[in-house]
Amino acid sequence: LDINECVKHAKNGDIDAFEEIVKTYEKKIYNLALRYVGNSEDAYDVSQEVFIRVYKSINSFKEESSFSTWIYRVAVNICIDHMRKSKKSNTVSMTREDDEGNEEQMEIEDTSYSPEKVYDRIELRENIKNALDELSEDHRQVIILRDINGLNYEDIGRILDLGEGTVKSRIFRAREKLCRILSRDGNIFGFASSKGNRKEAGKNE
Amino acid sequence: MSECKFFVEMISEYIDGVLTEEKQAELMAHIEKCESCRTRLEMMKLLSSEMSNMEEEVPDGFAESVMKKIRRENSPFLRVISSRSFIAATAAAAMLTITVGTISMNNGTKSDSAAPETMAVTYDAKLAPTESMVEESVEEEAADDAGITIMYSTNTSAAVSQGATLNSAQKSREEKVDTFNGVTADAAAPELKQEAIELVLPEDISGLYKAIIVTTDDALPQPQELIEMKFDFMTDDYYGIIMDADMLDDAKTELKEYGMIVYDNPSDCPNISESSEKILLIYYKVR
Repeated sequence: LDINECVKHAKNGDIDAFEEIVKTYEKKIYNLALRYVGNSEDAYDVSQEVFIRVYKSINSFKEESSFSTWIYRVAVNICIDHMRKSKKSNTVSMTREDDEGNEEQMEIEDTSYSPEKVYDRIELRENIKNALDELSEDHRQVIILRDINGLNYEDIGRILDLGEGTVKSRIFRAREKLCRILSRDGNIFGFASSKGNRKEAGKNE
Repeated sequence: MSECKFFVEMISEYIDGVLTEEKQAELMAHIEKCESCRTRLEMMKLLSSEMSNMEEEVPDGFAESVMKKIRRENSPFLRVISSRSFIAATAAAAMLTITVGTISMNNGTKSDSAAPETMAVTYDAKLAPTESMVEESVEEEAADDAGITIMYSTNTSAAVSQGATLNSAQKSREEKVDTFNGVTADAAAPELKQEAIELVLPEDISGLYKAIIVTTDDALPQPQELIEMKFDFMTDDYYGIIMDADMLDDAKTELKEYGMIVYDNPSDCPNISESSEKILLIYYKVR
C-alpha cells in the first residue's frame, strides 16, 4: 500500500493504515530526532510524540501537499520544542550569528589531506555525532535533513520555511563548521597530525 | 586563494548533486590546481557519506508502543463503554490495590469519610480530559501512586459534588431493564489466579468490593465521535471503574447489548492475559 493510500485510510480512522505510516517513517523520524536531540532516550520520546501528534492532526494534513514534508515538519517542530524545554539550545547558540555572516571563514584552507591515513570509522562517526551537537540548531537542522534524511534542498526549504538559497548556504556553512570542528579536534583525515605539526613547527620557529 | 571563496559553496552543492554541468566543470578545473579545495571536497564528501550511513535502528518495539498509545485513545471498546450510561458510578473512596502481573499499582486515596455512602453520578466529560488522563497513566506507568490518585480523587470529588445525575440514555435504558434477566453477581469470593490477575483489597474493606470483568471480541459498533472516557483507574493493561452494586445489573445489560462479554468471576475470563484495551474491570460494592 503506498503512503498516500495509507494516509487516506488513516484519515478515515483506519488504525492499521496509521501503523503502516509509523512503520514507514519510524526510522527516518527516529534518526532525525536522535541526531537532533543527541541521545537515544530523548529521541525515543520525541519520535513517539511526533507520531502521536501526527495521528491527532492527520485530518489537518492537506493531501495536495507532500505527506513526507508534513511529517518532517511536525518532527522538526517537536525537536525544536524539546530543545527549548531542555534548554540545551543555549549551549550551541554561540555559533548562531555566523549563519549569514562570514567572520568565521575557514582556517582549514591550508591544511593538507593525507589520504593514506586510515581513519577509524567508528571513531569518526562518534566524532561526527559530537560535532553535530556543537552546531547551532539552524545548522544542525539542515544538515540532518540533508545528509541523514537525504532530503533535497526544495523539501528542506518547505519543511523549515526557508528559501532554497538559504537552505543551500546553511548546508554549506554547516559542513564547513563540521569540518572545522573535526579538524580542530584532529578527527578527520589525519588533520590532527598535519595541523599539530604545523603548530609545532610554528612554535619552534 | 581568494577565488576559493567563490568555489567553496559550490563544493557543497556539488556533493548534493545540484551543480549544473557548466559549474561543475568550472569547479573541477579549480580543484585541479587548488589542493585546499580538493581537500575540502574530500572532507565534505566523506562527512556527507558517513552521515548518510549513520542511520541507527529504531529501538525494538517502538512502533508497537506508539500504536498501543494510539489504540488506547481510539479503542472502540473504550469509546463504547465510555459513552454508555452505565458509567454512572459510585463515589466510593476506597483503597484498592491491583496486582496485574508484575505491574503493581497502589491506588491510595485519602479516605473520604463519606466513602461508604454510594452516589450515582454520570461522569461529566468536562471534569478532566481523557487525553491527559491517558498520558498521565502512560507516563508514570508502573506502580505510580500519584497519577492514579489524582484521577481517582478527581472522580471522587466530582462524584461528591455532583450527586445523582442520570443522563437521558440512562433513563431510557432503565425501562428496558425489566426485561433483562439479571445476572447476579457472584456472591462467593472470586478465586483469582495469581499469575493472571489478582485483586487485593486492604483488610478493612476486603469483602466490601468485588470485581467483574468485561471484555470484547472487538466486533463493536464505532460511535461517531470520540467520547471522553472516565475511569477510576487505569494500568497499562487494564481499565477499571468502581460502581454502585445497584447499577451493576444495568451495566451488564448495556454492555451485553453492545456485544461485550461479561464474566462475573474474573478468573473465568479466558483472554485475561492478552492485554489490554479489551479489558475492563468493574468493581462494585458488595451489599
